[in-house]
Amino acid sequence: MEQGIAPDPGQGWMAEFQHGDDAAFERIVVHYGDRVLAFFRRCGADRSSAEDLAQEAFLRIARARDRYEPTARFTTWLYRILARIAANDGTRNRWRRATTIRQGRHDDDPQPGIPELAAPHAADPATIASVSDLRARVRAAVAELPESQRIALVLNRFEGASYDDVAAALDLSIPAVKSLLHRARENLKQRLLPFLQQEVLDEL
Amino acid sequence: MNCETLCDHLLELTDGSLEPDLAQECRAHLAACPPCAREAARQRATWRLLGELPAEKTSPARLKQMAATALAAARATPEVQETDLEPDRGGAPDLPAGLGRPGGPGRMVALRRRWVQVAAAAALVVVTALGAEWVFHARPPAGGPGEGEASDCPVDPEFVGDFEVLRDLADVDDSADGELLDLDHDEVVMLQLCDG
Repeated sequence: MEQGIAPDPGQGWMAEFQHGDDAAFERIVVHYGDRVLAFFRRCGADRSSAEDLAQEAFLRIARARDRYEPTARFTTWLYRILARIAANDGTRNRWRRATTIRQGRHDDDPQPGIPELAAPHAADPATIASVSDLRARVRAAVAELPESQRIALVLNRFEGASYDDVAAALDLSIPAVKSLLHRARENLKQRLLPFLQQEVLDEL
Repeated sequence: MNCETLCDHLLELTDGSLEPDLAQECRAHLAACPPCAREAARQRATWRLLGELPAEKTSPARLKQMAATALAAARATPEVQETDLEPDRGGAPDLPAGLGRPGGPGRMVALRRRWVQVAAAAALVVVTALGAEWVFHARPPAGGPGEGEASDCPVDPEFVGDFEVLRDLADVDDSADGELLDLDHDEVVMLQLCDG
């Protein structure tokens, strides 16, 4: 698992930002930007959509300038913003919408930035020729998860958010978060089973 | 420890967050129980496959640009919206209580580039419709300004194409239609700033 956003200097920078230092806000964006973008990418957004969703997250941080209270770790607060944007915006819907737009065109008009949606149900390990293919399968499997499972999974497995942090981000109890993660893993396991068998064979 | 207890701890065991003593008990069970060992191996493999999703890097210059855009938009609309920070209480079919609804108030930023095109196309449609209305009612003489403007109207097929794609989307996803057009003032301001 990737480790969490540590160290967590955002709280101090947010305080400086509140005192009028715009450069502190820039430091926040530069420091956390890649992780914010990665969060939306791993939730299934294509690169262009992830940038736009990240832009919205930065706007929300900027608009919270006078209202932010450092009662929790900055990252916990940030996770809450990201989870809310992902849930409200429906990254999965965006993914589907992008695909629909693509299909609506006739397809000698490929659109840069719009992902090719993998066909997970037609997955056959023999057809997985490269790591990039495997990534596409895994990305599609994650994108197909129910939204709350996907957000919890990405926060926990990739951002390194603790169960406590995920619970705070999603307004859930810790047992509910564990249940979400358990279901997410079971769903992924089913979707990735053809590849897991080989992986398990490799491990045993 | 039995198989059922092991299942309860498998998530934390495979992500390494289980207490050491309990983890040791689990490992002892796994050593003696091939079915549980296979299940644990599958779970570890699932997490390992997720590791195939690497993070991408964005240049600091691009991030600084995004920071400047956000600051400018925040200055233009400094008020904090309740919905920025608080969870949507509306609920959603596949979300736990307290999470927003997937088709909730649209955040059209992702389609901002297309939005500008759509706005242009929509304006064009309105202007064209008004022009046609004027032509129909005023019945200007042949070769008059109404007909001339209509025939010379510089319609960009690509704009109209995008508009049609978005319009048609309503047929396949009802929730998307409202979302697509549900831009609030802040977002319009931000889009204008984004697109210069």
